[in-house]
Amino acid sequence: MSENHNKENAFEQLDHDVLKAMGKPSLWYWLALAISSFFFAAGMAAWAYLVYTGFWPTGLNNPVGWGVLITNFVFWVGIAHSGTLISAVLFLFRAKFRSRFNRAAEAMTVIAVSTAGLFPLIHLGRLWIFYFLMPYPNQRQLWPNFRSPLLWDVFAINAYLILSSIFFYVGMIPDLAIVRRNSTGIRKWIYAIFSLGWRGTNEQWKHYSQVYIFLAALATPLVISVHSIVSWDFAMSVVPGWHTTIFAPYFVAGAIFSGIAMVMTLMIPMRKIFSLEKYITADHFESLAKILLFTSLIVGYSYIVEFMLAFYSGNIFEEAIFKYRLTGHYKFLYGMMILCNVLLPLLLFKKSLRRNLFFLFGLSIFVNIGMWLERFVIIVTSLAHEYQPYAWGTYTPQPVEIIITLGSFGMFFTLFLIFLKVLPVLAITEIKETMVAEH
Amino acid sequence: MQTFSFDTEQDFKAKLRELKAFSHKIQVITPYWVHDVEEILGSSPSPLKFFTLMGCVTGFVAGMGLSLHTVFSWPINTGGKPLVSLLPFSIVAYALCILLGGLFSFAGFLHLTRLPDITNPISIMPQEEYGNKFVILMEN
Repeated sequence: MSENHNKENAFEQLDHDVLKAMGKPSLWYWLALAISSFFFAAGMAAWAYLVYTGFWPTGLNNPVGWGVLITNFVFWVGIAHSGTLISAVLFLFRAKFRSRFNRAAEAMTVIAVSTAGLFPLIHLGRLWIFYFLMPYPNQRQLWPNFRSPLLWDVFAINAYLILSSIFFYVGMIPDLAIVRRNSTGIRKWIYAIFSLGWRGTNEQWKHYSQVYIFLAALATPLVISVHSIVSWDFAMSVVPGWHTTIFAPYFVAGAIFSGIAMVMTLMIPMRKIFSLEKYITADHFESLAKILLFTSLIVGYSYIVEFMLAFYSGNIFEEAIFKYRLTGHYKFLYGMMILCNVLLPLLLFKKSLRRNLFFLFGLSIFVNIGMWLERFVIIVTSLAHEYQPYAWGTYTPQPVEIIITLGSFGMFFTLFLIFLKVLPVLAITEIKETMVAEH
Repeated sequence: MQTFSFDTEQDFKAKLRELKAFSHKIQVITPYWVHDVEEILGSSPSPLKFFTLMGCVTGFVAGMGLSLHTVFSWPINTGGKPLVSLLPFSIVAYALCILLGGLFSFAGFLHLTRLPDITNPISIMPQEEYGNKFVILMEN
């Protein structure tokens, strides 16, 4: 009898703890929201300024026509990847620790892809003709070029955004019903509408379990394909430093690496602020740390292979660009990238550090910085130092680009903070299932 | 209608096995998916896979068809590549295959679970909510 009560109480306690996190925001929450909203608004204002003036305030030039804006695009798409990895891939592999992270990681995916999606639009300049990207019947019967990787990107990113949103929503339906049950007034009606009248009958669960598996199975190849397609934006060109077959796996590993780091950056403070230590333990973070270490080793290996390919090829342009990365104008950034992405994560071989959340939080910030720098270094150094010496140049981001970049972080954190207060931050139903299995 | 409510999955499953011998009109409500329920009740597998398959096939055909249609509609040589470049076109077809597979699966899920019941808005807020109980509803 007491065991029954304990379980019932554990379930009720879980409902209570998660709903408490959705309760009245603290002063710290409002402060965090105010800061992130400020940066978001500043970013939007900077974008409006760019639309008004054209691109002259940016540092873009000939030969460096892709700079910080495209760096941000690749960075944010990468951040999105771990959400799908945690929610879909680890689900198919039955990794139980995922249930502690999947809700926040899925939210992060949807928000990060939305953030990423803005950058091609910003980079377009003439935003109002963005629909030229889409294949649509028109009077002159002009169609986009389906052999261009840039168009594959349009399809891949949109498919990823829509599928991630569906996966995020479907996974949340039973939890929204729990919130509905425990809410009152207008909130009850809102959650009632979004939980679609879910009751948890055997028929509903039967189809739910199927749709969840199918969505996971459909999302899994996207983990590989979306960032592969993003990498082909570069690899399909004949620019030295870009035109290499290693780009797809290299980008995918980097995406998962940066995404896991961002999950840590978000979840470690969230766990503390919302007192969720009981549900998200050091064991769970250690599992994430192992993925971080593993992907860091792949990324480090890719950096070595990239150099080997260049020098073994005997191609003077390839050799030149890699020497330039190491010793040219951006050598400091390259060194920082190696430090953040390869050297510091090696500390995770020590078990005590894998379980030290303070260390993991600090490391995740360094990895985020390192992965942003990686994208910057790949994009800018290759364009700055292409074939002809008389066409070489350098690029320095200008204030408007830096403000837009900070604005993207502002947007990301603003939307994530809103998520924390309007949706359940843990996958309640799944955690109940794992609690019973563990018991 | 008789209602049986349990705090644990084990008690619930034991009672469900027992009641199954007496009645075929049984519905259960659980706080999470209990894998054995389908086996105990002997319900047929979900036909959702057909929706997913239909979506994937439709997406692939649509993607390939769109790419082929556009090159025949506007046959311009870009970079000396063949007009019909099946490999690049298959990437577009693949993206739409995944996208429509997901959309059809979601639509199929809503159709099969009859969610949401728009004919009766009140039903989106069920009166009987059993919370964390495992419940068996049996018609006599």
